[in-house]
Amino acid sequence: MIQSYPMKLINIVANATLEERLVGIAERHKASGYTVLDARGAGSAGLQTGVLEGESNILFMLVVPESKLNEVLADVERLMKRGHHLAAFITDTQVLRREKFSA
Amino acid sequence: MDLSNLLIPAVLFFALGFVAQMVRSDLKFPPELAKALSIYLLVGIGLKGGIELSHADMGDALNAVAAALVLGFGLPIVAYAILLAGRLDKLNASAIAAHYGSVSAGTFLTAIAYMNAQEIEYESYPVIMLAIMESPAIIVGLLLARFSRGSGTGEDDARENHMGELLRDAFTNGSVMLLFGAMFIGLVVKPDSLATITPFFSTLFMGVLSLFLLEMGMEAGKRISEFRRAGLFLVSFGVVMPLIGAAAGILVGHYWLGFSVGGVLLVAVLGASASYIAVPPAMRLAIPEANPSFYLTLSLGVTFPFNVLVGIPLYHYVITRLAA
Repeated sequence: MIQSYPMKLINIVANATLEERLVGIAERHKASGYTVLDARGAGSAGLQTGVLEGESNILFMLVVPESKLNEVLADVERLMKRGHHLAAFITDTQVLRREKFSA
Repeated sequence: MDLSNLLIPAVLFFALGFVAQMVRSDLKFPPELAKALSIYLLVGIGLKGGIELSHADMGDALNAVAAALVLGFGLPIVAYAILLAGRLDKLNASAIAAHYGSVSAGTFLTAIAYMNAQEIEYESYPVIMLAIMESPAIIVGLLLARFSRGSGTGEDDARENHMGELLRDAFTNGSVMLLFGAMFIGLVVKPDSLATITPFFSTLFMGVLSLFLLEMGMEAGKRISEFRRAGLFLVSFGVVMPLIGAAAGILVGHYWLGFSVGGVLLVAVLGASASYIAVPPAMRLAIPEANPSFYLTLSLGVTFPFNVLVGIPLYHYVITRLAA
């Protein structure tokens, strides 16, 4: 049985223009890394077809230990309070190398 | 008004895209293609503008710059006032106003295709005006939103920093860099050297424009379903504001700049068009509270098709009557 360790996975769906801000949040909290996928869809901001920059989304993925979760979410919530249309999903996940994801 | 002048590839491909979307065809473009095509188009038009500028009159050019600034700063204020009169909230009004003060290179190029087909000549100064008019409206939108938010909630410092950053973004945005950069290159590079790249940008130009407009037609079609969310007032605004912008452009082009019919038509189109490439991402960051569905639907779903299918021939008709 391979040993795995619990972590929190934060998935954020946001407009592509927010990538820099989200990367800033990841760096500020010394996350070990992040992954960005291009996305499209629809929601409170209307149709996001992914064709033009103003209507393209990203899926921003971040894995952090539970100890860091609140501070990261606080920053994300700050973005939401400014009016940005984004959605954040937090799920429990398991990783193989604990030291890779902890500060 | 001769509508057979609309039977040019650019307009017909736009209509094709629109129809394809309406009949729910599964026609789809690869994801990054529109962005790639728009880079080509902006570089192409910038280069051409720069080349023309190299044998242009400095005084006339500066006059055109001044006129562009007047339109660029003035039209968003007019749009804002109309939207507020229609009881729209201030933040959405600021964001939408920014779109209508800025310009659509796609509409501009369609007007050029329309004139080329009829061998109508036009001055090159409107290309400089196109480059200049991309940004001022963004600044006006930012300022209007800032005043609308009033005294902050202690987040003022954060907003200050953002303001500087957002202003910097308004001037360094991709479309502006491409247009000015390509114009500069067209201006300073010797014709012999330029000849190595001009065939690429001239021979293929209208074909690329056709493909781009095909995709934009589909995008415009997708937005029809959002009309209900936008509501009658906003959708009507999407038709009325271009008429006001065109009128302003015609007055500026004819009475102030003294351009020929072709030149005035381009200035009218600059006034009438609304951005859907450069301004939406700027507004996403600068006025996040505004609903992107409103400004994208209006600019892409209402104003762009209106200008391409009705506006250009209409403005042309008015201008030829005026010039007579």
